[in-house]
Amino acid sequence: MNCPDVRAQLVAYDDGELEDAEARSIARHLQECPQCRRELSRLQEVARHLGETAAIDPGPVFRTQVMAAIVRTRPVHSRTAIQALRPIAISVALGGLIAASVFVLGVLSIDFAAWQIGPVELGPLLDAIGGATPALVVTLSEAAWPVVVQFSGTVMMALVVDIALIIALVIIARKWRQGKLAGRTGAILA
Amino acid sequence: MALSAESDTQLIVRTLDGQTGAFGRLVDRHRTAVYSLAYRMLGDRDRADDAAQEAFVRAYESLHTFRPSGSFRSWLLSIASNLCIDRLRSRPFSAEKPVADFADVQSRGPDPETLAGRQEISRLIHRALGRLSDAQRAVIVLVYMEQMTYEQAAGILGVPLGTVKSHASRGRRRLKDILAPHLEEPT
Repeated sequence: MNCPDVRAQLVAYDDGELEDAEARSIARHLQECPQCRRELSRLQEVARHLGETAAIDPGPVFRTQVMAAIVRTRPVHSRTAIQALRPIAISVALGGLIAASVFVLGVLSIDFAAWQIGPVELGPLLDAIGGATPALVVTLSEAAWPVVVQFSGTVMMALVVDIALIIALVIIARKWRQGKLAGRTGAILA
Repeated sequence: MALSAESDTQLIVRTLDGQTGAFGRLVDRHRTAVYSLAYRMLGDRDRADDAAQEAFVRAYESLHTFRPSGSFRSWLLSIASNLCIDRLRSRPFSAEKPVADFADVQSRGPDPETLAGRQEISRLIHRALGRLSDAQRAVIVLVYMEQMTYEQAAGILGVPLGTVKSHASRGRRRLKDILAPHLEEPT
């Protein structure tokens, strides 16, 4: 090895970061080259001074400042509150998706052809319940009433199923979180 | 078990259980390392104070992500060094005040003459650190001043081992050139 090659590796050599073969090669060169030995000596002196440079203690008031900053900028319980709400938010979102899908399936299951049969006036009925104006009169086939009942039933059933699913998801999410925390605590203490 | 003998992981568990005071003990235990790192990377005391406090606040916020298989000190210094590197992007290193002006410098000098000599070399080194690149300074501080291995420094800075080797070599040689007039002549 020549001097420039050796000097490029001297720091890694001094830090013990070279492979054995490389380190032996540099050691041999150093035995024969006073200039590179002098270079190594100066690098070692720099490292020694760096290591001897005193650490700086900000003092005990630093702890007070940090704890005040924690309370001021991030209330102690805010993190856990957000974390607790996260699985609920996910569950609600999933429940919404399920509700939408059940609703769409319910709509698709309805025989809309029934709406095309024999329109009847609902005016008298609306008059009886509050005096509707002619603009509010709705026409609906007689055969559509079972369809409305079927549609409403499907929606109600979907809502019941969704509420049950959301409750189940919230319970599962909470249990999963508790299990995860317990696992972490156990790992820390192990 | 006595409170003074509690390990970092035990204090972390207590903090996660809602005992904020346990985190205060972690602050006391590691404040010197975090503050010294910030001071050496940023250059002045006010910025170091602000960055070190922010590092602890961030550590508190993300304490639940700490993996107990690693060292808490390394994890904390990782947060602090990345925070300092971010801050150096908006404002470079500035050695506004020499470190020896502060009364709380923990000198290891056994006598006044040695103390004066070490304070002088501390001042020179602090100024010289400002002439390194941010990446070189971070590696020099972690490896030679915080006494970490190349692997630990690479983990803390999130860079490959080869990058740490390169910065250590270039940074130390650069410091040697800067400090050359003040170094002892080798015998």
